[in-house]
Amino acid sequence: MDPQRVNALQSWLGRALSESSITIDDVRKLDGGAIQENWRVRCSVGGINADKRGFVLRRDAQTTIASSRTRAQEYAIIEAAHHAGVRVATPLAACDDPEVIGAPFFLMRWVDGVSLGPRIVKDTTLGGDRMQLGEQLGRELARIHGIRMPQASLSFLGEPDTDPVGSAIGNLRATLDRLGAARPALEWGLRWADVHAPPRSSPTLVHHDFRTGNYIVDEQGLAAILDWEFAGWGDPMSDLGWFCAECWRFGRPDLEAGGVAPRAAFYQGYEAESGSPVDDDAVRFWEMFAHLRWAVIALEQAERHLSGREPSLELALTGRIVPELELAVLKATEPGRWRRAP
Amino acid sequence: MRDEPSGPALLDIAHRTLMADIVPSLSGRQRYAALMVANAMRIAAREQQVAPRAGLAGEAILEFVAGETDSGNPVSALVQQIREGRFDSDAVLHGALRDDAVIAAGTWKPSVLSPAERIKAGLGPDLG
Repeated sequence: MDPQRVNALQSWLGRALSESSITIDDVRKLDGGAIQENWRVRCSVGGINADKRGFVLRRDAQTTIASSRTRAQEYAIIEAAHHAGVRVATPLAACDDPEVIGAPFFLMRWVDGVSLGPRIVKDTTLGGDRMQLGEQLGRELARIHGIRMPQASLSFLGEPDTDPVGSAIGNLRATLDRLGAARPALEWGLRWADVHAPPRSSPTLVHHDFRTGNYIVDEQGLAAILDWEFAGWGDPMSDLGWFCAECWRFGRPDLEAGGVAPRAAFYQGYEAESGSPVDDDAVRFWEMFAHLRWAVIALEQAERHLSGREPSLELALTGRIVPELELAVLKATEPGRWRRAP
Repeated sequence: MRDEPSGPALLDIAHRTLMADIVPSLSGRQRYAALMVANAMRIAAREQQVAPRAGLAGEAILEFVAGETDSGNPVSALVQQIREGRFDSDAVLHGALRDDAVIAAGTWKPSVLSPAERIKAGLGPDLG
């Protein structure tokens, strides 16, 4: 970040945090964040014997994909989750003015730990007891699903979909059409989803990207749930399916709860916190659907590179994930698994 | 007459050099970037290796719409027919799609395939 913007950010921080003496010691962009950028901001607050404080600043990347919310909306969702007792990085302030650092952003308290999915799965010194971690993740997700309409601060989310599966299928088909991506294997999976949609659950707030890689753990256990930009009203079972999908187990397909714990521990935590049974059939449906959704997101990310707007090897490689996801879809929807199979 | 070493052979030695002489001295973001470069080189090499089988698998899929489209993209025509339910639970189309996906997924990451699938894709049973 250039010095002029750091100065503007420092002034804004003083006003937003009501601190008369605040100095930015360091601003550093964090790895990852293909859709949004995350920056670590280290500050000294107060004059002599200054208090050292760390923050995370989150702002739009150069280009964002169509399904992403604005930073102000994401901030409001995190505040609602915080009030509902969900473990999140404490939200502190948001800035809509693009003049300060070039794009809208918001600020949260820094949380120590690790969020990289493959590392969490492989390094069992992280996350504390893994059965407890699985159960805790189930509890956190149930707390998110405890947020129900109406919520004045979340009015921008609009009304929940009356046909969440049909809309999800329609959105993915529309995105494929917009990208000009003719992918028969994905279409096969979408058609299967069309025919096998589960009964609709009562709508709740849905995180929509609740998976290993989007939470922070430290040595003791779960520290914070991250990345709320896709959240909205929806079918709560879709979050459980996304979390359990094999594509998010990072090389540990045997640990069905995000590669970190058995499915039973995750379900147990969810049921204990929510007081409601998990609809396992619906979760399995959404697990298959997770591969479709991730495949379409991967195509969108690849398009950012292919269009020439944002040349990036990382985005280019993301596009090559798609056949692995298509193969998973085809294995889950073999002809014998069609309800209307002859 | 083709110049030697061939494109795939150049990619192979370039990949080996990158991994042996450069990656070990890197850390952090530079190491991550170098590993992505190495991965991209391996994908490009495998893509050439499986090209004949990938071509056949693609043709097998297009046979489902052969003669049905006067103009436009035949794959798009197939997509439309799948959406309309004309191929619901069709084992032959499913098999063709799966064969194609096995080759493409193995090109991306051979470890996602079983040894039998790797042979079918033309990649050999071992992880390269």
